[in-house]
Amino acid sequence: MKKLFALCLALACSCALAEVVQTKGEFVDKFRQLDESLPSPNVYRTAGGEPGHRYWQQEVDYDIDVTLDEAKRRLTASQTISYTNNSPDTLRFLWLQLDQNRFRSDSLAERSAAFADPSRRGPAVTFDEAAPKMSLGELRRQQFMTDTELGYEISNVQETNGRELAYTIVGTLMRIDLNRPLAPGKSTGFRMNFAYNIVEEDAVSARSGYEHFPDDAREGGNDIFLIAQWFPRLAAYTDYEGWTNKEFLGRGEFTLEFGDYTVDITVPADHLVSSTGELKNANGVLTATQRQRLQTARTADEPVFIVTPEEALDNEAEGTDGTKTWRFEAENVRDFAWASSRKFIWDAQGYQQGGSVQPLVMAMSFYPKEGEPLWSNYSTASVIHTMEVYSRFSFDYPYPTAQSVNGPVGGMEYPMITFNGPRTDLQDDGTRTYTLAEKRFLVGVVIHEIGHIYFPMTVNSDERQWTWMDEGLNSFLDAMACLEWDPDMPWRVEPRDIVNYMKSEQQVPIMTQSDSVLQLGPNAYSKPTVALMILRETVLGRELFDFAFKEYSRRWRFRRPTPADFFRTMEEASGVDLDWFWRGWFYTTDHVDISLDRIWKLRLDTKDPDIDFARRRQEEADKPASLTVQRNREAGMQTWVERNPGRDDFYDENDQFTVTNKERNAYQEFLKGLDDWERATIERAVAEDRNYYVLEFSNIGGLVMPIPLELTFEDGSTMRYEIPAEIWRRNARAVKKLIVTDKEVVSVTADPRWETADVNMDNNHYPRQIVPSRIEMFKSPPREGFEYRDIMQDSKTELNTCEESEDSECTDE
Amino acid sequence: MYRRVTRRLVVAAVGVLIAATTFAHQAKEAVTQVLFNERTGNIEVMHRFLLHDAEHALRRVKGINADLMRSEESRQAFADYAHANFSLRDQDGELLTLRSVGHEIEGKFLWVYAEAPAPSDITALEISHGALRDIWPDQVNLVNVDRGGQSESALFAAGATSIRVEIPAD
Repeated sequence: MKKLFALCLALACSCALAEVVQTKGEFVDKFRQLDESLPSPNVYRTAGGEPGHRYWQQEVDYDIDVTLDEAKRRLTASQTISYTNNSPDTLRFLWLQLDQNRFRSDSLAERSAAFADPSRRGPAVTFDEAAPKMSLGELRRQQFMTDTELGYEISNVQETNGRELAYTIVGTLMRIDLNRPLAPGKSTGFRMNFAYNIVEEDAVSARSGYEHFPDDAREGGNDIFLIAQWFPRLAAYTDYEGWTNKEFLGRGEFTLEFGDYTVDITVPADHLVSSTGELKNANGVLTATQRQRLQTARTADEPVFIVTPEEALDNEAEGTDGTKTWRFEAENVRDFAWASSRKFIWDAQGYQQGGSVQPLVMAMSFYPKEGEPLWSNYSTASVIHTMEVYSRFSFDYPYPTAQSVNGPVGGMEYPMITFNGPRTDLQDDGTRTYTLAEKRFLVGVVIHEIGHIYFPMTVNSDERQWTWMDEGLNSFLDAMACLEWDPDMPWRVEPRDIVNYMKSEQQVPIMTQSDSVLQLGPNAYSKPTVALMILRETVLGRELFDFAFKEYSRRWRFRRPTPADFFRTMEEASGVDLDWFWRGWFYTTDHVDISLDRIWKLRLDTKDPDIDFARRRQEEADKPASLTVQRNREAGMQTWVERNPGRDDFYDENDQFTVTNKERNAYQEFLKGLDDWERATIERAVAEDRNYYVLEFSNIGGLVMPIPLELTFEDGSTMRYEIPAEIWRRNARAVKKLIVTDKEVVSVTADPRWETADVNMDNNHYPRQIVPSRIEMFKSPPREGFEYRDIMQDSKTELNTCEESEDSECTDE
Repeated sequence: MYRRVTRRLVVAAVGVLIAATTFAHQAKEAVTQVLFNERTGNIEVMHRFLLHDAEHALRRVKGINADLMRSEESRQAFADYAHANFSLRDQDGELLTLRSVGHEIEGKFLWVYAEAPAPSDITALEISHGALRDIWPDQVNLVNVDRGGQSESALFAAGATSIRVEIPAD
């Protein structure tokens, strides 16, 4: 019943999307042109998925002065904004995003959060009629939000000439009404003051905030501040959506305009600041030694400490009443974030990228002792590795710095700066250690977040609309980068890993707005990743895929792509019609389950009685003997014929398959009646005597896909053969395919390398094979061979020596 | 009334005091397959957890320095935790006694196995899967009940702590 409902729903959806509707029969066109579902191409976006000849985007430049009040954990700032209208439209108002207002108790995010809503970012709450539960984490969140006034205080909104500007705050958005309409091609400037109390990240889950370390030597402890989504930011104005003024609910991230930033950050004098952009007043904030070390780091082969662990430990034990102002400038970025603490260790290494875009990138990491020794080992190295791999798949890293900062945020990205969470464990002996899983997490998460500086910080897709456009593409690339770091590092996703998700009924199509997605992980990360892997390895092949993907990256670098631009570019640049692939993987919840149901073997009827009659005789002989005859024989019974040997006649010499000249003459007559080409075809086929097989497949999962096959022959040799997805074009439910071979086939397997995310391997074998469940496999006898040795355990074994041993074997010898 | 409130507070107090970390990388998910295996006559429960999540959870729940890659003791402790937080009941609410079968690491995953003889008259399963959900804000546990190539799913993300699934017809 549920399935029926889902089917109706799917049909209703496709009706809503498509103008053309199948109203007779049950034909489903899985290959229907995608253009019907995509927005019409225009002068801003071409039919090939490229920016059009009139493509435009706005530019917004910021000049910000911000002061961190460490004791009050409060930011106070003023900013001057220059807005340039490159659109063909006249603007009478501007929309700004006020992300901090999401934490106000009267915000839409708070008020609309259903109890035990899985999509909310925050501590666990579960609902059970007998006993609804709140975790202590949720209580902590409630208490923090009660005790702390959250959201922006905004004042002095005025033009740069001092004239007041009227504004209206709508949840996490703010509309500024311009005193004069802003014509196309014109700029306007305005300024405002703002302040807010910083959230405690561990209490609220905010992608930024402070983390407190009460046990530090300094009285009252220390904080790490990760500051992001912190200033009122201009919402994007676009050709496809107008103002992208969707309320910030916490899940769907954001998209913004590119622009230049000058930011003066005033913090306690003993803090270190890591920030988007380049530091412009190193002389004022760094010691001569630190500046010298930075210089050394530019050409170093490995990370150089700018602030050593020992210096950081001394620093975090003290405190100061003084302040320093750090000035950072960033060009052509879509956002600006920073971090500040007196706890930071700081290392750096120049990445010699070469090329003309950004020959030298400073890769840097900032972390407290709580991240050591993991961070100094692998953070900056992972940053550089990311750029090496990503640049090959897309474009040169475009900014002067790439940073990884450890704090309370598990993993989050902003231009030139990322926040990453892995930590180490303090042992009783005072050392800090980490597990292999934590090491993999560090390398994996740094690669992922630095990768986000490419997608979506440079290829500026709209995360609030489409999480998959950055998370999916980026997870695909981070898998590539992890494989190149260490092929044994299992951070990546394989097609087989998502089969349980793919067959489940609890899912929505990838093409679903970010805030409405049911299971964000599989929907926005793993499923698109696997789709792209399949596209690369199985559908297009690496050469075509890599060319098309790089072309997409090139076209939309520093621009604003939509899903249609990605789909269209991948098709246009590869030259392959992929509409069926996007439809199946991105627009539906179909899964892959292709069953190899049956195989027929065909043999040519030669019409030559000397050949065909002998074959019929053999077929008859191959049938099992009559059970009665067999048992009679076993009982020692003799037949009449055996008991009367002298009474043979003609029919004891000949059977019903004996060929006479009557048949031979008829065959000659038959040959004479043929055209020359027919005769030649038969003669050749008879001479070759090849094997003709018809394979019957059914599509149980619904997703149309190529069918990679492995045929095993009588002599044990194998052959691969791939049936392209287009075989399903006129019947998406069941198809047959003729395969001709020289050798006799004994078995066939569909998708032998598990490359298509087929959810059920039971029906992939012909003849059927028993595919044991994981538990059956687990219980089966231990596997043997060198690769199954547990060396990690065995290496702890101490060597027995006869001197120390009281072992009898030693003494005996 | 007072008693009830107290009880809820007690329930809240046994919740784990955890810092909720936020991720712009993949959210936390566990996948469980509940398979009616015709060959063995058992209901096989196969949990797949992300190794890294399991390791952190274990530290928080058991307060130990867990190392799942190296320590069998850690793996066993997590398997015990997983078993304790998962249950199956039949259509009448009768608890099925699941027997632990073992656990193993495969790549980035830790698999935990259990099984029970499949009652012949079973028509529905009342599933409860609370593992990691008391800890992580974003934890999502997906359970597929598979029989004869058919699947029904229960998603432990929304409110319910137990979900009833009609077993696919054999």
